[in-house]
Amino acid sequence: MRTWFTSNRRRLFTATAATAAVLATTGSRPSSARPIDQVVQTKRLRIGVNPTLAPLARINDRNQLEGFDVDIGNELGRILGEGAQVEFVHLGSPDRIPFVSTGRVDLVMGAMTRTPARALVIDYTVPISTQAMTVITIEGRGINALADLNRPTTQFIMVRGTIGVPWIQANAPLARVTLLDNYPDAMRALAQGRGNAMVDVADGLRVQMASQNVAWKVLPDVLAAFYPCIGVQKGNFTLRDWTNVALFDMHASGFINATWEKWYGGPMTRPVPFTPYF
Amino acid sequence: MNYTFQWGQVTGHIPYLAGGAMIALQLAFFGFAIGMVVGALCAATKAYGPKAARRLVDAYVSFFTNTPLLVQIFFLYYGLPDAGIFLDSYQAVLVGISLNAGAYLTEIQRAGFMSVRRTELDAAATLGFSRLQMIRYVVVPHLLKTLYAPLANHYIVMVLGTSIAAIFGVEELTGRALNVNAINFRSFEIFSIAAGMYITLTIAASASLYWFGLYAFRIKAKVF
Repeated sequence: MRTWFTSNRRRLFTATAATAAVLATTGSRPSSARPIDQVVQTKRLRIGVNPTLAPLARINDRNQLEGFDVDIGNELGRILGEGAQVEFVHLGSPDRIPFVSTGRVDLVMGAMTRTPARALVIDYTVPISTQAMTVITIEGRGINALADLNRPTTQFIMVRGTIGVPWIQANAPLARVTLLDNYPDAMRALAQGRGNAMVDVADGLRVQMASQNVAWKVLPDVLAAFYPCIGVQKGNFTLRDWTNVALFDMHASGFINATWEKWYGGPMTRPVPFTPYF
Repeated sequence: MNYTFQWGQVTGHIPYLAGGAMIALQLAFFGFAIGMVVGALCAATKAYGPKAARRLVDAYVSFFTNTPLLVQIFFLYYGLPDAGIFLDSYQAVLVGISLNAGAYLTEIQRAGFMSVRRTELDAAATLGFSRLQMIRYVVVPHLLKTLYAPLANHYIVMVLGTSIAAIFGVEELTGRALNVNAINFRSFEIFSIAAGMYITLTIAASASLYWFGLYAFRIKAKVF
């Protein structure tokens, strides 16, 4: 039996193809960045945080988001003006840069360490804290010094997109690496014996480490010191410049150090220097 | 603030991504092969087995078709070590996709068994076919013609489904695309190339399955 659909098959195909073409050229276009004027106008600041990276951010027992980054974000909202709302977007480590570079969030946090490769793609504010990268291992897994790392028997468990991965490629090329997508999975895999070492910022992983019942060991060597900042879409200078001024005030007033001590139980290993010139 | 394409930063990684595509194809192939064996055994049990065995197969099919593949592999990868069973990334993913495929292929193959008409078997018996001849000349050709298209479609779905392996540290195509993305953050360029590779994989698989079906079984299967 011929129906309208069968007799108009070619027309339907053309219409569908045309719709798909329009969607492909318009609908899939990345959202553009929002300059500070637009953020102020909408009274909405979208900040990406990583809730798998406690105490920077985590979901508490009441299913609410909390942590160092959340307090900093809320303070930015307060400085932005009365009625301004901060919308936190939950991101994993590999999602941070794609989300801010496509304008899905205005600012991105979650240990956004400043590196030259990342700075080609996004812009950074001034630093908000410091990080010391070390080797995290477990007693009895055969890792006692840096010299033990560059061996085929060393199996690193790393989170994809983190700063330790290029360090391993450069300094321990003989070792094997398993890349997972978030810290809880990586710490669990390490604790279960899927690997024997991780290169990351131990200070930021204390909560994750405490959740696994193994004898963690952090090697004393500091492999590198880094400066986590807030990431902004490339070229969004108005929002970056405003955030820099707000962060300077938060540093100068002691808000950032006090917030750090609230969540980490002590001062930063290396205090973050701040300056009125940026 | 307009995005500037930088294909040059990505094209050098194409051989690395192609290696990942081969791992995806390999996972899908082994997963499908194991799933076929599991599915055939379970389908035969469902069609001809005792009641207790049929119930067991029903429970298996019900569990694996009503839970997400991702959850099944999470259980195998992170849950089993707590029970002393330790599968590495590749093993956990392969076991997961094989068991999952086995459940779906059980139903597909059972439908094939059920489609063999009694009259065809009676006709073969009347012509004096032995049991083996009956299987060779009546049951198998009928089954292949009935099942070839859905089986081939399932294989292609499995090729695409291997992207789930990236979450468990298997460096197949999606995992490698994520790795390259973590180096130069050229998401649009990298995932465009990865998508192109997946399309190439599925078109190549569809074409091979079509020609294989045509020459081996004289079936003009409409695969995708």
